[in-house]
Amino acid sequence: MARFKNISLAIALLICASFTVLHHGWADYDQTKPTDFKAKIEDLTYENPHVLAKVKYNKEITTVYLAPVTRMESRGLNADMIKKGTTIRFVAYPHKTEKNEMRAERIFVGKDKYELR
Amino acid sequence: MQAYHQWLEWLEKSAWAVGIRQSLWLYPALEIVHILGIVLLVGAAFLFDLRLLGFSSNLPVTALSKHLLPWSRRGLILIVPSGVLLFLTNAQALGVDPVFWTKVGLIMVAALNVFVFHRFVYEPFKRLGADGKLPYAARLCGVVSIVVWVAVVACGRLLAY
Repeated sequence: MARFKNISLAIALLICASFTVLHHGWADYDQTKPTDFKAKIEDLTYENPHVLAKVKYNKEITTVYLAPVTRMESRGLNADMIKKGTTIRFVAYPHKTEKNEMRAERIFVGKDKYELR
Repeated sequence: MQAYHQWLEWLEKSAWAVGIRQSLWLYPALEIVHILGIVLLVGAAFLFDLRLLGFSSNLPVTALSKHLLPWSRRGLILIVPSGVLLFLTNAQALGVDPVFWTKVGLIMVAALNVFVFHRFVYEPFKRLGADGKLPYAARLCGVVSIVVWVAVVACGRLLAY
């Protein structure tokens, strides 16, 4: 039984470790600092695992992580609505360690709000 | 090294990789297949490992191994192709990621453990038939298997976006 306890402990530690380093998980972004801004899409990568938008924020090119393609579509978005050159409003959180990287909680295309979580 | 990076770039820009990234359902479908394969391989392996550790010692080891281990192997049929395709979609980052190579190394340790177990530890029991308690070497193989597979799953989770 002692051996079983040791194994369980090792497994628990590994599982904890696997949750602390999710690269683009919500926990990697500073959710106490929601950033609300309008920006033109400079480049759009409409692909899995995440749709990425490159925008200028404070004069610097910033990569904004949107949602996986299936979630984008189920919330009513498509590649055409946010294509290169479109200006949309973002509510996004800055990455805790990566400079010029954000993750969008929601976006506004025209007057319509799209939740991305 | 240069050639390796170029190869990774070529893989990531290949029609297959682009097709999977841009498909609405293919990427999540591959993830589902990959995880189902892990369930089959690791699930069956864990149940056998627990028997090696002495749980349910009323069950005959030989019969249990004949039932569980072929299913564990069939898990590979789901895991390997889906894993290769998922690798293609992000080859440039994964190919140089120490976590990825840790995962590959751990899978090789798991394979070596399987080889050692069947070749040296379990072989005499297959001939004589094994019931009840197994030698400590068998228990050690069980522990190694459980710990290594948990670590492999943890690495996989770290690699996924």
